[in-house]
Amino acid sequence: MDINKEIDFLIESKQYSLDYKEKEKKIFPILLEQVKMQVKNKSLMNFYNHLGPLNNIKKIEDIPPIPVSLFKKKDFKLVPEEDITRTLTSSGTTTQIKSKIYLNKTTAFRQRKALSKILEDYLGNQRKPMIILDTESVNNSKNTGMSARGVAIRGLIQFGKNIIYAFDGEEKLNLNLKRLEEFIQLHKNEEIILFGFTYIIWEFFYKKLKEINKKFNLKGILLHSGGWKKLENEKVSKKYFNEEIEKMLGIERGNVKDMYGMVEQVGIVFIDCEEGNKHVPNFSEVIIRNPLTMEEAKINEEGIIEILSILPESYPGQAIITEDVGVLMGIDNCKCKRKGKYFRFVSRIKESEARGCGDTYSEKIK
Amino acid sequence: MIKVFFDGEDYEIKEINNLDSISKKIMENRKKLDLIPISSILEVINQFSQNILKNPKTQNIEGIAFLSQWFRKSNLEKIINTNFGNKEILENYVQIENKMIIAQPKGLVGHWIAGNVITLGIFSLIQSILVRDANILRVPKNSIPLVLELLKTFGESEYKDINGYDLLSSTSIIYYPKEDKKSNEEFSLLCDARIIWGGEESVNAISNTPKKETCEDVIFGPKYSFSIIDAETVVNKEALKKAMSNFVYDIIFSEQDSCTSPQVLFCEGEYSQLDKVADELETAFKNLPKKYEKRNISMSQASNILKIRSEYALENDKDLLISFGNYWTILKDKEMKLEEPIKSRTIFIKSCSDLYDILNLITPKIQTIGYMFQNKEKLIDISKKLNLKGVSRIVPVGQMNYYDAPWDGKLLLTRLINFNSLKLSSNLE
Repeated sequence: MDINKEIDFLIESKQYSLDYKEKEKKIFPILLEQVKMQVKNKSLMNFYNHLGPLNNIKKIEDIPPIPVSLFKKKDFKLVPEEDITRTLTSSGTTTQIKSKIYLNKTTAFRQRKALSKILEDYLGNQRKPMIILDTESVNNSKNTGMSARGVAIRGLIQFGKNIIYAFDGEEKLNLNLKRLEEFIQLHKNEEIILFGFTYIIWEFFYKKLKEINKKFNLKGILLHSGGWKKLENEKVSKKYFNEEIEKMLGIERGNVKDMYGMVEQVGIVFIDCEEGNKHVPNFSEVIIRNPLTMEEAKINEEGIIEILSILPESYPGQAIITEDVGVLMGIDNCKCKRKGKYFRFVSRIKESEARGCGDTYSEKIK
Repeated sequence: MIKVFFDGEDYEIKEINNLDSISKKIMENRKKLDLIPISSILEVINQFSQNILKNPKTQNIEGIAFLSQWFRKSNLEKIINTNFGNKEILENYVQIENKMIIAQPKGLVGHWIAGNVITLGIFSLIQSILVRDANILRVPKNSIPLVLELLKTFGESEYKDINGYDLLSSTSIIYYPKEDKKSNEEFSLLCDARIIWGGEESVNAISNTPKKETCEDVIFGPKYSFSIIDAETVVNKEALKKAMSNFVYDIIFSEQDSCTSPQVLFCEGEYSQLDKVADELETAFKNLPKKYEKRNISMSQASNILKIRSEYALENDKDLLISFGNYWTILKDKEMKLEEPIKSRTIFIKSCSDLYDILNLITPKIQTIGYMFQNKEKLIDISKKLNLKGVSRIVPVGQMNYYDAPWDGKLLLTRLINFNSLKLSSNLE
C-alpha cells in the first residue's frame, strides 16, 4: 500500500462522504502504518511497548492515544531537525506552558489542504469578502514559529477576498471602527465571512460595539473558535453568544458557527453543521471514550474526546486524547447528510474540586 | 441563609437566617446528657453499631463494617481509656495527686466536615456526644442524605429507657455554601470547640474565622500517607502475597481520597524486585470481590490517570502495570520521592536500597505509614525515628484507613472537655 497516495486521496476527496465503516476500513491501515513509523522515536517506542504493543492493535480503538498535555512536556519529532519547517505553539492559556508541534513540509502541506477541504464544505469554494476579528500582527510570523491564532487565520484567509483585520495593535487590541464601517459599506449587498477567536470577539468586539451602541445588518457567516473557558466564567452560553451576535451584527444565529480544533491537530476543525453537530472529515476519526472503561461511549453519553488523524508525518498526532468532554450524537444519519460520526463539544475537563484531607499538592509535601 | 436538616428533634428542612434559636435549643437539651450515665450512652452507641449493619439504607456505605466495629462498646471503652485512663472521670471526680479532677463538656462543638469520607461526620459527632457536648455539624451537601440516614439509625437505637434521640436532642445538622461568610462567622462565634476537617483552603478559611477566645480548635488538615515493605517481605512470596492482599484495601478505600490513603509504596531492594511486588498487587486488584469494583470516575481523574500512565510509558527506566480501562494503575520507578497523588487506585511503587532513606522525605504533613515487615527490631527502630520526625501513625498495611485514637497526634476527647478540679481543704480530706 502506498500510504502517501491513500492519504492524498482521502484529503482530496469530497469530505464527509464516507460512512463510518467505509472510513474505518480506509484509515485504519494508514494509521497503523504511521504508528509503526513513530517507534523510530525512542520515547514513543517505549510508549507503544508499554501501552500497545503494536501487534495487539487490531482496530482503531486499540491505538493507545497520547494525552494532548504531553506535547507540553516532550519534544516529539519524527523527522530530522533540518526537515522542520515550522513550529506551532498552543495558546497555553491554562498553564502558560505551551505545546510545541513540529511540522515538516509534507505535514504542513497536508494540513493546509485538509483545512481547505473542510472549509469548502461549509463555505463553498467561492471566495468572499472577509473580516478577521483580530490584528494582522498575529499572522506576521518573523521566524518559523507561529501561534495557534496565527495558524488558524492563515488557514481561513484562503477563503476570503478583500480581507481586512478589524483590530490594530499587538499587545492591546484596538478596534478600527472606521476601517470596519468602510468595508461593510463597500460590501453591503454581499455575503461576508467573519472569523475570530471566541473570547476576542466577545471581549473586544461585541463589548466595544455594545458600549458605543453600534449595530450592523450583515449577511453571511461568523466562524469562531478558541474555546469557552473564559466566557463560561462570565456565564456566557453558546446560545446567548449566538443570540447576542445576531442582535448586534444581523447574522442569523444559525450562521454563527463554533469551530473546535487544536494546534496539536491543525488541519482538522470541527464546525457546527446546520443541526448543531460537529462532523468528522474523511481523513480523521473521533472516539468519545467512556472515562472508566475507555471504550467508545454510547450515543448521548458523555466522554473524553480523542481525535485521530492521518495528516501528521513529522509529529505523533495519529491518536491524541484531549482534555475535553464531548458527546457522540450519532453515526451516518445527521439530517445535514454528512456521513460518519457526529458529536458535540461539551466542555473542557474541569479540575476536580479539592474536597478533603486527601487533597495534597506538591508544594505541601516538598 | 442556613439550611437546617436536623434540629435535635425533627428532620423537617428549614431555612433560617441565624443559628441563635437552634443553638439555644440544643444547649438547653444538652443538659439532659448530664443525667445519662456514660455506661448507658455506650450501650446506645453499641446498639447503633449493630443497627447500621442491618439497615438496608446504611449497610452498603463504604467503610460501614469498620464504622460498626469502631462503635462497639468495647472499642469505645478503649478509646476512652486511651484518652483519660478510665471512664470514671467523665462522671465523677477522680483523685489525681492532690486534686480531684473531672472532665466536663466544653459546651457547643462546631464540626466542619470534609466531603471526602462520608462517615467522617459520624466519627466526629459520636466522640463529642460521648463527652456530652452539644453539636452543630456543617456537612457537605453531597454527604447530607447518608449522614441523615446514619443519624436516623442512631436515633432509633435503644438501651432500656434511653434511645438515640435522647442523645441527639443536642445535635443539629446544617448546611450553608462556603461563600456564605456571614453564616460561617456566626457559627464560629457560637462554638466552644471547633473541629475542622478538610483541605488546606477550607482549613485556612475556617480557622481564620473569628471565634470565642476560650474556643479550642482541633484541626484535621491535609495530610499525605504512604507505605513501606522491608527487604525480607519482598523476597518472601507468601508474606508478600498476604501483604498485597491487605494493602489493596488501603488503596481502594475512598478511592485514595483520604489523608490515610497510600499514594506511594517504597520497597526495600533492587528495582528488578519490584516486578514481584507489582505482580502480587495486580493479582490483589484482580481478586477483589465484585462489590469493590470501581463504578465511577470523574473525567478529570481519568484524564490524570491517562497522563501519568503515558508519562511513565514514555520512559525507558520506568514501568507500569495497568488494567484495561482506568480501573487501577501500578507505576514503577526508583526515584526516592513522594509523588503528587493521582488517586483513583493509582499507586507508585518504588525501589530503594535502604528504607532508612525515607526519613529524608518526612515532613509534618505525613500522617500514616502502612508497613509490612518481617523484622520487628528494624520496624521498631525505624518507627521511632519516623515518629520523632512527626509521622502520626505507623500501622500494618490493610489498616491504614482505620480511624483511631490518637489521630493526627491528637486525643480528640481530651480536646472537647475541660479538666476541672476541686481541691479539698485539709479538714475535708
